[in-house]
Parts: sequence; C-alpha cells; structure tokens
Amino acid sequence: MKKQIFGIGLIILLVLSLFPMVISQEELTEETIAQDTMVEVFTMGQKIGAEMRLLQLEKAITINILGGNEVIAQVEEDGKDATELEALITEFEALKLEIQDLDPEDEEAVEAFVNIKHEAIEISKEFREIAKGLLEQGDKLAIASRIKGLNNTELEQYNEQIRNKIYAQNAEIVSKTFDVLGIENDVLLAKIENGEVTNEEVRNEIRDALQAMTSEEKRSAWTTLKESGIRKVVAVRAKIEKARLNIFERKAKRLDYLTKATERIQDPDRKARVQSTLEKRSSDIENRTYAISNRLEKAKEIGQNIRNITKGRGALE
Amino acid sequence: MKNAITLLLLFVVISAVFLAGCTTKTETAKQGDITVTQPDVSSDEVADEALTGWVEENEDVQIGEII
Repeated sequence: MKKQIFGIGLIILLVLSLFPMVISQEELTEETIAQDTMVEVFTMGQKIGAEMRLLQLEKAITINILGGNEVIAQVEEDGKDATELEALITEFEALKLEIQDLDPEDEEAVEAFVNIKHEAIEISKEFREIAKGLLEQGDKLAIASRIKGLNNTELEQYNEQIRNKIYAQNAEIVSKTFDVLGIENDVLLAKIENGEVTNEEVRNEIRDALQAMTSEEKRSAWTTLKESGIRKVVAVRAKIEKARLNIFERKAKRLDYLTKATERIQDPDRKARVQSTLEKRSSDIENRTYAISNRLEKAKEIGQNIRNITKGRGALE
Repeated sequence: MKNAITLLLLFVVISAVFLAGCTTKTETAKQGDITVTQPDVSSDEVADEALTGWVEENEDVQIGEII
C-alpha cells in the first residue's frame, strides 16, 4: 500500500514538474517565429534589402503555387473535387499580385511584408490540411519528390535576382561599417558586390583593421555600431506590432487582388468554381472585419465617455 | 526511512527541473534609452556588430510547405 502511494505521489510530482517546461517551450516557439520575421525585416530599412525580402517572399509563394498545382492535378486524377485547393491557389496568386504592386521604399512595405507572409503561412497550412484528406499516402510521396525536383524558369529568375540583391545588400552593410571603422577597401567592396567573398573573409578583414586601433577607438566603434543596431531592432519591432494591428484591414483590401487573380483563370469552369468558393471565404473575411470595426467603434465610444467623465470631474474639482 | 530519503531526493531533483522550466524565458528588447557602454571590447565583438544584417546566399523566407 505504502509503495502504491509512493508511486502515485512520484507520478504526480513528475507531471507537475513538466508543466512549466512545456509552457516555456511554447513561449520559445512563438518567440522563434517572431525572431525569423524580425531578422528578415531587419534588412528592409534599405531599399535593396526591402526588394530582396519581397522577392524572397514572392519566390516562396511561387514554389507553393507550383507545388499546389501538382497536388490539384493528382487530386483531379483520383476523381476528387479540388475546388477548395484551387481557391487557395488563387489566394496565393492574389498575394503575389499584392507584392508586385508594393513600393519597396514605401513606409508600408515592412507592414505589408509581415502581413502577406502571415497570410501565406495560413494559406499553406490550410492547403496542407485539405490536401491531407484528399491524397493517398503514395500520392504524397510522389508529389513531394516532384515538388523537390521542380525545375522552373520562373524560379531560376527569382534565384538570380535574389542572389544579386543579397550581394548588393551585403556590400551596402559593409560599406557603412567601413565608414564607421575608417576602413577604405573598394576592392573588397567590389568583390562582395560580385558575391566573391564570404562572411568569414570580411570578418577577417575587419579584425585586421581593428588590430591597428586603440582600445578606446575599438570601444567607440563598437558603441556606434551597437546603438545603430538597437535603434533598428526597436524600429522593426514597432513596425511588426503595427502590422499585427492592421491585419484585418489588409485582409479587406486584399479582396481587390483576389478579384484580379480570379479574372486571370483561363478555364471558365474552373473560374466559376473558384469564384463561388472565394465568395464564401470573402464573406467570412468581411464579417470578421465588420465585427472588429464594430468593436473598435465601441472601444472609441467607451474611451470618449471616460474622457467626458474625467473632464466633468476635473471641472467639479 | 529509506523510502522517505529517496522521496526527498526525488523532490529536490524535480523541484530543480521545475525551477529551470520557470526561468526559461527569452529576454525581449524594449524601447527606451539607447545608451550602450562596454568596459572593453574584443575585435570579434566589433566584427559581430559590424556584420549584423549580413545575408547568406542560401537564406530564404519560409512560409511552410503545402504537402
């Protein structure tokens, strides 16, 4: 009997001790996701960095469109209804149109990037869930290998453009750093712009230049660089926060792009099917947006009432 | 007596695990004064700061797979 109580007590203690570990893991996952986006947005302060990130996002969406079309072909081959998947592909297309319409230099580009990426993740998730119910295990493996082997001209063009933007972006960063450190090395900058130098090689060059500096000079350079980095992080966090607040507003704006993307569908039957599915989805988005704007109006009203009461109290005092 | 000592030891170990879980938190940067001071910095630390924002060629934006 004693042994049984001992055993039960032990199990309870073990279970209780695991709770905070699980909770901290969840917190960590959320933080990691935000961290990914933060790292991506960090480079969007410069025009070239913003162009690069928008192109990378467009490429990621294009990969899912190409893969998604493979899934749809398989589902149709199996004689099943792929309308919902077709509608999701049209939503991906709408996101692409929206990215192409963005001005990378616009203040809103970061906000749009965060929102479009979030939306693309949601659509990918939804697509995966629906496809899971429609595909056989064998189909999945075959499609996965077909997607991996995708050799598409459009993707090649994206890779080429992104590569060049990455080189230009890195050259810009190093050029600014060289200004702070008082280094002059145009040959190295040209090599970075051509993608002929690795991060480690640039690091070595900086280390060499720092050898000639006094401790005071080094500290001053580090402080300048660190402060500029922190300012960027704070600005990035503020932009991500703003993007989160405007997420539904953007969803409502996206309806125009959805209409444009639907109009581009060649096959009239497919177009009609997709239109009908999207109409239902759009009305859901509209309803949610309407509910939120109502809540915002109510919140404003409450805020105004509180201000009125406070003013009244101030007058009485 | 032996059982009681074992239970006590287990309790200590489990409490340590519990506390470790509670203290696993990620620090977040907050907006405020940006004044950075460091008594002494190494060349590596300066190089780290200097190359913040460097993008590797194979870096991509991830949105998740569709299958």
